[in-house]
Amino acid sequence: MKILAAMKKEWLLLWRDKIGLVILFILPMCLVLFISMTTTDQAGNNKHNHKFSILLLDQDKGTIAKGFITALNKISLFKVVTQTDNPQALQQTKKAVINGDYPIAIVIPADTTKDINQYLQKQLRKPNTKIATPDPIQLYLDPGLQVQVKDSIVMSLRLITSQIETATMQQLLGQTLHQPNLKLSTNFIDLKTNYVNLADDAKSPNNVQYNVPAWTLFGMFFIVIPLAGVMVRERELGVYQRLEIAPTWHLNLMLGRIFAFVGLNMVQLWLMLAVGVYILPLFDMPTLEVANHIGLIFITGIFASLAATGFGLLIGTWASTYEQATVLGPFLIVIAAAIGGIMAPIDLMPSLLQKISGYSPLNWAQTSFLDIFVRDAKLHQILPELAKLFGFFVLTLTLSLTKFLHPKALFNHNH
Amino acid sequence: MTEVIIQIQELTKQYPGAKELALRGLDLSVKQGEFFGLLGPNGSGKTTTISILCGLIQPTSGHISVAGHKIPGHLNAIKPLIGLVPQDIALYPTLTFVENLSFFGHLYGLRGQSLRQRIEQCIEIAGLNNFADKMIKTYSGGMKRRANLAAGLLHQPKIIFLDEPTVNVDPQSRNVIFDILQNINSNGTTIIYTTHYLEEAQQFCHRVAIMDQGKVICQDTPHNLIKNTAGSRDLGEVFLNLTGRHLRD
Ligand SMILES: Nc1ncnc2c1ncn2[C@@H]1O[C@H](COP(=O)(O)OP(=O)(O)OP(=O)(O)O)[C@@H](O)[C@H]1O
Ligand SMILES: [Mg+2]
Repeated sequence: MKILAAMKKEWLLLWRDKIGLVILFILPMCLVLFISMTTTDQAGNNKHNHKFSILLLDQDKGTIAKGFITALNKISLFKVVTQTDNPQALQQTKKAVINGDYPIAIVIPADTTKDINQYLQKQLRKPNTKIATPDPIQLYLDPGLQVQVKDSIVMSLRLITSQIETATMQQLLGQTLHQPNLKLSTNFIDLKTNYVNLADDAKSPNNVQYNVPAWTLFGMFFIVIPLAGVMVRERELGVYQRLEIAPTWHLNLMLGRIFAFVGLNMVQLWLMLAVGVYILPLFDMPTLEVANHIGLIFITGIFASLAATGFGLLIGTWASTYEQATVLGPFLIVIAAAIGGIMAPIDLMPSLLQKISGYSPLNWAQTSFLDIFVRDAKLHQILPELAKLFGFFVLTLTLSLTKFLHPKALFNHNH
Repeated sequence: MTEVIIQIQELTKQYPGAKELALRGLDLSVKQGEFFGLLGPNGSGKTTTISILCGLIQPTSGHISVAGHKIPGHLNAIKPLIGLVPQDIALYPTLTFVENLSFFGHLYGLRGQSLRQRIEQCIEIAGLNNFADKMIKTYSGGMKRRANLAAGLLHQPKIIFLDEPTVNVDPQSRNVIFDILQNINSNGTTIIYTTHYLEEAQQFCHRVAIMDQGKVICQDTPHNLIKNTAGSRDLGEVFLNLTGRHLRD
């Protein structure tokens, strides 16, 4: 009964704190929505048809340039705009990138086709001699381009030049062998991507399945703010005096608080996942698949929530001011989220960080969610993560309760 | 009125990190059913004494027994018997009076019909019938004080400690508060209260103790104190004669 009363009190306090409610429910939903929409698709599906405009200046006008442009136009990622050649064309092209009109410009220099053919023929005639390579194709890049984006653009272009190299050499080989129509098949070494998972029926994962659970967890841990806030306020208000002198264990009050906040956390969880299921598809994003996993999501949610609540109790117990609690809590969560692989995949982190990421409660919960969402795990496969989360909860709860164990040994009255 | 309900001997208290002792060998006894006043200049240790008696803070040394139980060792036996009306308003400002009472009532094991009855009585006592379902933060200062007092009476404690219950209260509310206190006192509740209003203490207290610098310098009925202190016509003059006229903090 005392626990129930404590739980009801927490809910009432939160219900009257409208800003707290916004923090608890609206902000996390926005977080999941916007982060999922702004993160590029990790599986490479370009759902948004976002194209990079490329300004192309062809001063060669030969077969090599034609082949290059044809190949470029086939890549859906690019939208090719041609710069008409004129004496100032090179300057104009560079200027267009500097002005930010195009993130990238390509200049194929004059005589490229001629130079390349001559280069190859010289090589055939005098193998093993050093011959100057033809002038390179010039790329002009906006320095503001993200490194990953730049890398993937350059990689695509590199692929085109390799294809052209192969085609040109094949042509030359045909001439040399007096078989002008020689056609060797290319692309005979193929790469096929296969996603394997624990249930052995993997669909290709999309970023929604990574992002929504990850940021949902992040949002759930922010329960620390209202939780620790309520506790510190209680002390500042003097209400704690009434609580202290009441014939009630602190554990009862703590349990009431834990149940109240775990309950809220669960509402948050489903609201945030609902964003992935119902709202993201409205913006042409993939739908979050939850139907087959409801039970395990629920279980992981409970354990993640216990960890978050325990952490909140710890901060709320030991912080001495409201500011400490509401700044320290979120700060630690952001750090735990960063090292835990919520913000960026762990595989992309430096090796030192990868080592410590295994100590972040957000990492345990995220691993469990990934197991469920993209690897189709069964309960026994996520047990290790659940155990760690529960251990963290017990630890933080114990550390919180130690504050209330009076050091009776200080002075013995019973002699 | 002869049974001693609170007995304090040689009580000292040093706050962590403080150089000076807040209590320096305090002796005090309060009898069952007394209306007892704890007087003294600012910083003399009144709040500290009450906090120790309620188990809010730990004594450094000394012997204390409340209703026959030693503290802090047997604090749990005492908790249901005592009530506290703290110096600050100790209620949740965003909960209504009823919600506050209901929560604290549950902590004392009250529930159902008996809890509802006690809540009704407390609302009646505090004279807050029209405001019981309003949030505490919307109350005036006097209403908050009355609510704070009534919340301390909810579980009908045998002993009630009140720390300056009448600060910032208009004469009407003050009368209400003393009516309440005299009423529960006549039903056998022991009352220990601190105040700086000496006329108040002289009028209502059976006995008072005057504290200074962490010690009780005298305890007796107001009548005896006035009679035995040379040149004093009322408790205010006794107070000034015994504690001196210089500022304390
Ligand atoms: N938390 C604390 N930490 C350190 N010293 C304290 C603390 N609380 C009180 N003191 C000191 O203990 C002494 C007694 O303080 P206490 O509050 O008990 O006095 P008081 O009689 O209630 O005064 P007032 O009439 O102003 O309420 C004072 O010197 C005070 O500075
Ligand atoms: Mg005081």
